[in-house]
Amino acid sequence: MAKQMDPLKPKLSALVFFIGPTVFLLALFLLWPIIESFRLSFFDWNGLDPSKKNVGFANWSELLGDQYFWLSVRNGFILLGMSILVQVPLGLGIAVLLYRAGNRFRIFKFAYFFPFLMSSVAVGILFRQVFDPNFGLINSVLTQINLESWALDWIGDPKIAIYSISLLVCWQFIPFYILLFLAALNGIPRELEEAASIDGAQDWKLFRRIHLPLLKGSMITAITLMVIGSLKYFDLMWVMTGGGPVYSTSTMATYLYQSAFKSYRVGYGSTIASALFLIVFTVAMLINFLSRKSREEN
Amino acid sequence: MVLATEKSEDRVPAAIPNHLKGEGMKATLSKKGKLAALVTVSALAISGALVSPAKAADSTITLWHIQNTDPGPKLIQDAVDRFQAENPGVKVEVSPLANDAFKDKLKVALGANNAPCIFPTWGGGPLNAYVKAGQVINLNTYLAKDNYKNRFVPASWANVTFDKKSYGVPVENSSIAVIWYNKAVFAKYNLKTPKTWDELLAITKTLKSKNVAAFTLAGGSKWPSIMWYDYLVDRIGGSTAFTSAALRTGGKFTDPAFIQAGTMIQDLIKAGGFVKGYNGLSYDNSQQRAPLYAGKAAMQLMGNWEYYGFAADKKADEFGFFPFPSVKGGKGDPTSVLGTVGDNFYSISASCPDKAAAFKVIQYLIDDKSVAARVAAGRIPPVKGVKLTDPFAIELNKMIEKAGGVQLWWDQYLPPEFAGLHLDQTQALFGLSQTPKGMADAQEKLAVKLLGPSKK
Repeated sequence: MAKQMDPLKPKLSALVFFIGPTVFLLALFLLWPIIESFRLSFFDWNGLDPSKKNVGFANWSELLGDQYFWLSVRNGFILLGMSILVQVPLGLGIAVLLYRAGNRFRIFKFAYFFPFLMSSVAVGILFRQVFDPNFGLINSVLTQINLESWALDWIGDPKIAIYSISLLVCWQFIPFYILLFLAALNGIPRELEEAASIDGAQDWKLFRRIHLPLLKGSMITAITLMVIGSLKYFDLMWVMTGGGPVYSTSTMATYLYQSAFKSYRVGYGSTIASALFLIVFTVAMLINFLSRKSREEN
Repeated sequence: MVLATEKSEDRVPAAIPNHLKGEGMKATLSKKGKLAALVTVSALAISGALVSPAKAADSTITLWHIQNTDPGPKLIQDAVDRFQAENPGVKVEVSPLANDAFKDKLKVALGANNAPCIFPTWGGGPLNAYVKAGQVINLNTYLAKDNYKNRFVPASWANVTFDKKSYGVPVENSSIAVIWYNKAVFAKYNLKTPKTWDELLAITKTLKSKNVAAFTLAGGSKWPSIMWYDYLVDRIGGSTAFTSAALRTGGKFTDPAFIQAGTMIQDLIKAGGFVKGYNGLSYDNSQQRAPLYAGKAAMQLMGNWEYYGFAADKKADEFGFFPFPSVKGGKGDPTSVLGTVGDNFYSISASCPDKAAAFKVIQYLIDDKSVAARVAAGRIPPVKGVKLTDPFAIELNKMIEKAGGVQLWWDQYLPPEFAGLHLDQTQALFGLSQTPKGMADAQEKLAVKLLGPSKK
């Protein structure tokens, strides 16, 4: 009992207390399911039978030749592309406007944030009606202003459905990026802005030379989040079209759900889940690597 | 006085035993021990919450159902209340679920050995999968008692009986797919309900010239589309065309009847037979009904339950129905119907702690009072000698009684993986992105993989 404690050495009990629960929960709900998914990807199992059939790499070779899987991968990248092209400029643009407007237009901060607060299922059901080809808001307006040829079958036409829903996803997530960029802008030291304006930098120049370079970190964060979010996206695709028509809006996540829970192919679903993990992990690592490299170069 | 105060102060902690006990515990446990206790307790709490469902005093029967249109939920709850009143000590927890969500949730629950005691199915392929996995119990002994099985229409057992063992009790309704039509639209253009496919095509042309689509369709939900394919195969090739292919007794999914069915659907589509955007409309929020109400579409191929939807929208009087038309030269019996007698069969899971009580609950769901309530709601309960009162139900029941055969919906008849392919392929067929031949080949390929080659 009389042992002298080293005040700098963390106590084992403290370590267990602070890290233990997190490690335990992460292992239980994250690590273990990932490992289990990889293991299940080598089995043919319907999710019900007490026994599973080991089929080796059969699921994986099927996956490589599965056109619907590759269509789902492609759709993930379409969503990612749209996210970067739409959400970054709009998110950043609105954030800069809100930042410069200061507290006078606080109401807009709330208004713009609103879409992000709605549950995806509610958004999906609502917009299923908005996109309705016959009675939807969009097509009604287009017909009223004599643009009937533009009144498309937004989510029923396999050629355009993925773009319609991707735009909706952007609408839903732009507020998040506004918030992210706004926080970053507020973190820029006032002295820098003042010094720049004394040197004659205004508006565009101030943005180009001061704000934009200092937002680089947030930009990388935003793009990383978009990569992960887009490639594993599920919500609106599932609610609005169930990945259809004919897999035209299928993402890897909806395809995995479809396989595991609709077609009772848990083994194959696990294979898709594992592939999804590998793809997202690789792309995220790549971005991490590139951003670190560019930081080192600076 | 001072002494007394001191004494009383001494006693104060003793008067608050909880507080004192807490302090005492804290004092006696080492810090590490405390921590270990904390971690263990929280871990137990977490794993406990995951593994064991809440236990009630005597026994708890969990019941899931998907009766969400009025008066469905009340009907079930009333029956359960009657059961509870006469069986104190047994608690029944009722959970109403949305149709599609239910299908997924049930499968996960069964796979995790965490299924509700009582749940509905449509019989057929999925129920058979649960049977094979040992997840539902054979009800034969319960059904034999007091000749209970005899209470029901014999045809109602067909889809829940495998190897002469019955795994579900028919409860809710008799459901068949019919063609609903807007009476006002038919009257306006002087149309008669068609008896043959050719008449149907002629009507389609007339309506098209008036800028009305013949049919609406919730193609986004997929299952409404397969009714077209399934009916046409039956009308063209007869009832054995499908069953001999599905049971692999000589028929194939590439037989001419299947290809012709696909071709006829695509001909109807090309003739402008379906409302704009039909392949994306969702049944879940009744999107397909709007064109019917607005007179933009005149008809819909849909189960007779659509009547309850029309009734809920106060439109029941505006619609009539007729059987699926016959096809010239087809081998099928034009009175045959696609659907199910007994729609929603209730099964008992193998993990149910009190199976006898669970069966009793099911009996209350279809006791005389429940039957009367269902009849009053315009349904056709699958019990013998039922006196129907609703004119719609009487008319429909005539059609069922006359029927040369009742073929269960293919997506419920087939094994789930095959059903998934059938749904997808049909949606592609309707989207004109798949050919009838391509669809037939894809289905036969999977049939061979899952069920083996077809032999006579």
